[in-house]
Amino acid sequence: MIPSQMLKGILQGSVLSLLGEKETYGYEIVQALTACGFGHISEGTVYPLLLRLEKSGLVAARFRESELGPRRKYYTLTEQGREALIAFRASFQEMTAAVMQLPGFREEEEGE
Amino acid sequence: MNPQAKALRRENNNREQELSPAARQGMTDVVVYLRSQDLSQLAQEEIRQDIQEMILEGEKRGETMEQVIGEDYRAFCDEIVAAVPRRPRLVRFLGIFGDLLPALSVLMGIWVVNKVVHTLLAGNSPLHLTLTVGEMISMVVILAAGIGAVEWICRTALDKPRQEKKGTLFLRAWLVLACVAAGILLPTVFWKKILCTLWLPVALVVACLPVLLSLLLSRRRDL
Repeated sequence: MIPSQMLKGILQGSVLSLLGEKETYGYEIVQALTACGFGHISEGTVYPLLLRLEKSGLVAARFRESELGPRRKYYTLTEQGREALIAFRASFQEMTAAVMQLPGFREEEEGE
Repeated sequence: MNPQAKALRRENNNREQELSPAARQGMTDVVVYLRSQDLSQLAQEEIRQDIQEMILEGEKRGETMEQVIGEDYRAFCDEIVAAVPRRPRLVRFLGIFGDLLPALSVLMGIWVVNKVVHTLLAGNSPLHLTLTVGEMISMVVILAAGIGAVEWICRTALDKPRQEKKGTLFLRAWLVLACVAAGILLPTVFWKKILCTLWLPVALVVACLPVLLSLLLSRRRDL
């Protein structure tokens, strides 16, 4: 289980990453995050984040009819969003590399 | 109200009927709470549409509103509001002002009709109407009370029921009573003190002015 504070920091980048793959909607994002091992995340957590991304121009949204009945709001990355995703990947890799240099993590690596 | 927001509100009202009764009740609380926040009417309806569609889809999957958006509706709404860029102070002021205009117009219309009828009954010509300080105060008091009541209902829509201390309840009751008494007494004291005299056509124009202003403001999408 990822602590909520840690999750908060990486959720935006993770959602951008999923949107970088394909145009998708809120519930599918939730399912993909759960499948990746992020634990239980409700649509109520993801929606404000998607709204923030939309308002800041990182994603574009449009409604599409779904087979189930209700319309779904599909999100897609904008050019600005792609740049933000590249920046997130770089920062995350930098942070992971730094954390891996810490004693506890280094020993684990050496032990392996 | 902005025509785009009005059309979306109508559409949302229709879609709301497809929700389960429990979700409809929950959505009403959420919408009422969002009305008190720094969001344009169009943004309110767009967000309402998103949440409604989310819940409708959740219900098709057999999930409740709590399972879809989480149990803490207030925290959910606060996160939504935080996600939307804040509007400039002037725009916020214009939004509140725009909401007041129709009420102001109705109050002024009532005042004009009331004055004309009273002047005619007194056997005088209704061409010149006198506005007293008391009448002006009573209009301000009615508007302020209306805003206060709506604001209180909206802001507390998602509050959990809590046990208030007896002292707090007592003080609050006295404060409300004091405000009501002041609202009644203050206009009475100045009821006959004349503020100005208006020529009937001018009074009618003044009464219609808020409606015109409201129509002008409704062209803006950010209010």
